[in-house]
Amino acid sequence: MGASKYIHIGRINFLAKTAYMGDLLLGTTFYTLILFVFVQLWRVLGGPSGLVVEGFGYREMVWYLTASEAIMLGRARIQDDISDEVKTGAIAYSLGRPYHYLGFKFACYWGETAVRMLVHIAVGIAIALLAVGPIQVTAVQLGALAVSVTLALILNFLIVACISLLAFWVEDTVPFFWIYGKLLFVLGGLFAPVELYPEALARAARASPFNYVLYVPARMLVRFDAAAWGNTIAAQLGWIAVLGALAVGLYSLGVRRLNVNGG
Amino acid sequence: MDDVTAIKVRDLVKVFKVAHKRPGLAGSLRAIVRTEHVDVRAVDGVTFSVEEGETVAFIGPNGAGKSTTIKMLTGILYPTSGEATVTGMTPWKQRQRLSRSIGCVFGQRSQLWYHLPPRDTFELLAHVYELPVSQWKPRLTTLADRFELRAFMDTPVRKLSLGQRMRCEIAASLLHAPRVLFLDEPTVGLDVMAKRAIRDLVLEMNREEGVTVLLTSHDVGDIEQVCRRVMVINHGHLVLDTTVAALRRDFMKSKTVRVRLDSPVEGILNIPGVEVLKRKRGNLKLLVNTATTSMDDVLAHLMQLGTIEDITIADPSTEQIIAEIYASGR
Amino acid sequence: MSTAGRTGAVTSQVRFVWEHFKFNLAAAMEYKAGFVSQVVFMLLNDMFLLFFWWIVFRRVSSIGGWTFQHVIAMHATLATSFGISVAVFGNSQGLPRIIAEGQLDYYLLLPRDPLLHVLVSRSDISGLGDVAFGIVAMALLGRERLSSLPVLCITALAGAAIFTSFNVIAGTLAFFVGHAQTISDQVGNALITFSTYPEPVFKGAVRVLLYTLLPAGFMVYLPVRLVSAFDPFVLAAILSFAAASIAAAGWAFRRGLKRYESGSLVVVRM
Repeated sequence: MGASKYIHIGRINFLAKTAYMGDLLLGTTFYTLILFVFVQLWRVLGGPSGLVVEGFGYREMVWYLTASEAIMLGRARIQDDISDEVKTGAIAYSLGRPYHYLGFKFACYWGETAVRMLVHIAVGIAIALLAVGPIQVTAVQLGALAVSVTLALILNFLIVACISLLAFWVEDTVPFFWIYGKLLFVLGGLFAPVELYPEALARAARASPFNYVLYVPARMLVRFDAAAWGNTIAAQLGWIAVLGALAVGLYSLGVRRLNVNGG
Repeated sequence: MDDVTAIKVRDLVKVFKVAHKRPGLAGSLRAIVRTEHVDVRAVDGVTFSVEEGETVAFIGPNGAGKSTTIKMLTGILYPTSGEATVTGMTPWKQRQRLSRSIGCVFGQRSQLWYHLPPRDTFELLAHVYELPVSQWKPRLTTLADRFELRAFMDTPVRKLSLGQRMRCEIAASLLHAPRVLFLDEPTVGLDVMAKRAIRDLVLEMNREEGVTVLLTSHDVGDIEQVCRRVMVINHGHLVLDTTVAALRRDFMKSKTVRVRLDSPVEGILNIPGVEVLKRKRGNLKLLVNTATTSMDDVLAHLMQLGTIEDITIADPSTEQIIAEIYASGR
Repeated sequence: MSTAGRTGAVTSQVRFVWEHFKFNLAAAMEYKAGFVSQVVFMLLNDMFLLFFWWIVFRRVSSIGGWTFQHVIAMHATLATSFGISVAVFGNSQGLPRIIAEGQLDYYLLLPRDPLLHVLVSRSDISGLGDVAFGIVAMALLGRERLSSLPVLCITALAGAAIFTSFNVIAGTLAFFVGHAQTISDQVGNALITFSTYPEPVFKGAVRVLLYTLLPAGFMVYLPVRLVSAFDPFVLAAILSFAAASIAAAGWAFRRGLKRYESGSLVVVRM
């Protein structure tokens, strides 16, 4: 069946990345550090100045940050590979193979992301437990959260793929990724839930796909809203559909251009 | 100080401590607690001298100690024991001073800036070596003429062919008029015409300016056409130090001929001085003993067997030569 | 060496750095679109951070005594220091990889100080975007801060020296241990991270760390203090620390180089 080959690709990537466990674990020091910095900052902000986000006590803030940062750092980097393959024209080889290039990349992405997420989740839970103790979550909520996180990571893949595929037309896509990172930081609610923002900005954030990558799943962890869950998932799926179509479209256009121009 | 000796090496030894891990899980665990080290004698007492203006080939199999020796002579490594001087200086003690008198071309590492034209690299090198304008500009003109670089002096290096790039590399290494030139695999990856061009240029520089040339290569053509002297190094020892002419006479007594005839060859093949290594229909691989048989005779025989569609005549590889040297008992 | 000789040597080194920067710039400008996008997008990228802080400071008037103005000054200094460092000494963060892959040999064969040569052989053009942002941000500080401009320039240069030296010292780990690039990346990121958050956020042992091993204190916090109120002692402290960092970097590299020349690293490549 078609899907099994992608599962195999993902599995191989997963195993390959576990070989770099040493580097991966070393990399979690940044995760630990950034959580430490954010927590300290929130202590100062939430203190006498009284910057309070409705419904987010100190404990909720710490868990929120742990979750948002885990996704931020747990995402596998595939942008360099895609951009290189576009630049060298190697992307065209996949046309002769029994799989779709984006499916292949998706499988690779998941293989690596799975490893990274597992490590970051483990480390994150340890840190948060040590810092503030546990939060209230039921198994059902965690299941619902897992779905949302998965969709969030798929969404990230599609955004990254779309930006990388611009390499067909633009010399250097790296600067676009700086901006994407910042958009995730601000509109994605990396540091603070969207509730913190002035009205206009909050609306912009909610309307963008970025807040479905970080804010939505992270918030789900600390303030689960069962009623809204359906709508949230639907919105994530909606964005996935839109960006998925865009990615496939960009790929087709780009590859056609390659064939015409001869790479 | 001896003015005429460019390179003098005496009892040079280099021992590396290599971490040795025993196989298996037990070995890995043990390695965490205590790493065992094994001594590897990469260079084990090498002695030789090279006079100014000589062209010397330095050959040996991979891991024989060639690059380690070159690294010690250029000052990148310091030896475990022994002495060496290059143009009168001890390389590992006076590296920066020595660098002004030597030029190096390593086949793998380019000193040309990839996105800029060669002219820019030359200018930058002039700054690096602090060469006065009155000196390097005319020198560049001379080199550009001799190496025929004019046509692409202003083309970005990334657009140049490998042959053009190598000519620029060697010219760049000669800009500061070094007295000794170290060349490591300078013709690797080049086509026959480009190889010849490089070899001719190096030889010309040697004749015109008296640059001492020390060349390491796996290509026997490099050795035969550029060098007059060859040193063979293996297992860290200098096993042979002789002229190329003697090497040719004593150890390069065969050539491999691959020929494809238009029709399959029937029956037993009996050409004097020729050993048939492989045969398959019209394809033959022959080993010709050039000491007893001339290539003309071999070709004449082959043409009698049928029309030659394709033929390749190859020199023995350096590995074969070294195998020969060992077989002869040295 | 006589003073004339020493000045000559310094001028020669400065010229050397400048020549390489010009070449790197020329090489980057071969790709005009890429060059422009790198500079412009980095500028935008940095502006985003200020935007974020603007949102925060709409709700909060000060963070432990630091106002929005302080944060702007902090980012301006950091961006300028970082930008100069990566634009001029672009190889400082990639040193471990260069050492591990034996690329140092190339520089050892040339008649220049190998450390300086390695550092200037690459340029990260996006750093110019950071410098542009630094200038814009300093302009945002208002006209009354204009008098601080020369001070900010000096501290930016000092900061660049500190950042570069820090990366070099972290990079020399590669002479001694494996995984050096990852470790060096982590500590480099750590330094930058701490330098993007106001000093009052960090207390106690962490504050001490930031004035020693992770010198965000000398790189940005003290310069910010100088903008509010000029203090010659603070300036002297910054400059002394910068000089000490450079000396430490040179020393660390020379020690590592000795090990490199003994061939202990060759083991990896053999």
